[in-house]
Amino acid sequence: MRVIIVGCGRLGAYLALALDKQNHLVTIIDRNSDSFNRLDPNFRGTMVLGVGIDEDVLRRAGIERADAFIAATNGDNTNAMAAEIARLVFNVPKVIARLYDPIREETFRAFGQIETVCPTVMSANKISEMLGNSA
Amino acid sequence: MKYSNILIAVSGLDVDDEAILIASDLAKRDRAKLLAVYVIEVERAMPLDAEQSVPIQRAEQILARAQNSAKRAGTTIETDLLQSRAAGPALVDEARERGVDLIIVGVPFRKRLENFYVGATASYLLKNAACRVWLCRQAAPDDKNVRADKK
Amino acid sequence: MYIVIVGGGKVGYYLAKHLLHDGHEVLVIEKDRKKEEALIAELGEISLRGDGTETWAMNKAGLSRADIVIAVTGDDEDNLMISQMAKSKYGVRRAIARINNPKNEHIFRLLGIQQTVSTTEIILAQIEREIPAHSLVHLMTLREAGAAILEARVPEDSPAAGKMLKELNLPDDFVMPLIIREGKGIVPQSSTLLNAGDEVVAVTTLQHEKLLEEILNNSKK
Repeated sequence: MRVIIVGCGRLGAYLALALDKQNHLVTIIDRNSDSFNRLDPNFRGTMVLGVGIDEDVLRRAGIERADAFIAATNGDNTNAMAAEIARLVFNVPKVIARLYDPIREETFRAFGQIETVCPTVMSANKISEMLGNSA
Repeated sequence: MKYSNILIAVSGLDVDDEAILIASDLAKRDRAKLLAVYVIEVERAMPLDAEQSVPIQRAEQILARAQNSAKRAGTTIETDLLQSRAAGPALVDEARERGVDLIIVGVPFRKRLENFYVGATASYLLKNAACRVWLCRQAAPDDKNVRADKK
Repeated sequence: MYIVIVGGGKVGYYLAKHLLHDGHEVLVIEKDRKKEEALIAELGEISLRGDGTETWAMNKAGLSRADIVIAVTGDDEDNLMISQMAKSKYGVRRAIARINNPKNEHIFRLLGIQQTVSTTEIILAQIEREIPAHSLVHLMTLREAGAAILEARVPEDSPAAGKMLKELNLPDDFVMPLIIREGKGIVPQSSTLLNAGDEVVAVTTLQHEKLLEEILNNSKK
């Protein structure tokens, strides 16, 4: 699969390496070149310097041929916009956005076009569950 | 210093009674007029002229209590109920319109993040009111007088 | 009408001032403490400090009661988020978004935000009182309404300088609601004199879009 990841933070970098190991063709975008230091030297994918909500940057990253798009920058609004561009402008079949704010996540999930992941809700649920088990 | 128009900003706290007591003494000394004002702060989610029965009821109780306190102190007090987005600006405007020369406001003893916090309304009055402003701060909870009161 | 403006920079400030003058209820959401304090000092208690893309701020602002939400922050992604949340979560009928990067304009349209304020780098620079390359600045085109809001500076040698507004014989569908003189906004009357160096804001139907430039530069009157 051709996968584009926007944001080479902890999640983006970790995911890029994992997908690369599974032999997917990974392209990762970040606006700060230092962020790419998070990647392992063995990473075989492509790194693109630029803003993930800029169409030209996305084209350079090969979005027109991408099978999946993951928005994983630190900003919810950037992720939402990047994901919407990927889905609605470039028709990427599978688009996933990471949104920290549960309410924004709920709103965007309701749009139905984009899949969302909310680490806040997932962590909170997991932690409550762990507390529940120990009680 | 002589005062002729004194506004007491009431909020429903016990300290209101103290503020009115002080104002009553001044009123007797200077033959000043007293005005107790309560401001209902309306959230942005509602239009400014929204009629909310619960806050209005509460406001009327607070103003009635102010009238009783003044009566006990041997004076009479006019009351006024205002509705605004924020109490501070409403009180400043009211004081200006009524030619008030002293505002007395009771503030609770409260802390935020470990520091004493005077509250948005009192600090707005201190910064923006044209006339004199007196703060009447409630006794701190561990004050001996408070304990004595409770006995 | 109840109008919520997100972003209390220059655009947000002038917008708020203008709309308040028109008698609307206005709230500006601004996250920067200093900017917010400046707004209060200039316009009164019409602001809320917070991140306008956060739901707590939107709830506190009473967005569901708003007739119009105008997103004019410096970040397109934030403006998009605000407009979309306003429309889908709060049922606000009209959301207007400022676009900082002109590349994003068609994206906004695709995403259902019809009304946009195009502020390219050049236009922004002009609002920031740089010397304009063109005397006319398009502040806002309300495509659906067939109207435009324009801004222009009165040139030194303008035939309109020194004239009263009423002497310019403006058509009925062309109004000048705001003059910015030496950094201060003036709401002009028909007898107000135009000065060279004034920045004027005009609201007009698309039909008379070109008129402002004609009046200020090569008026035949």
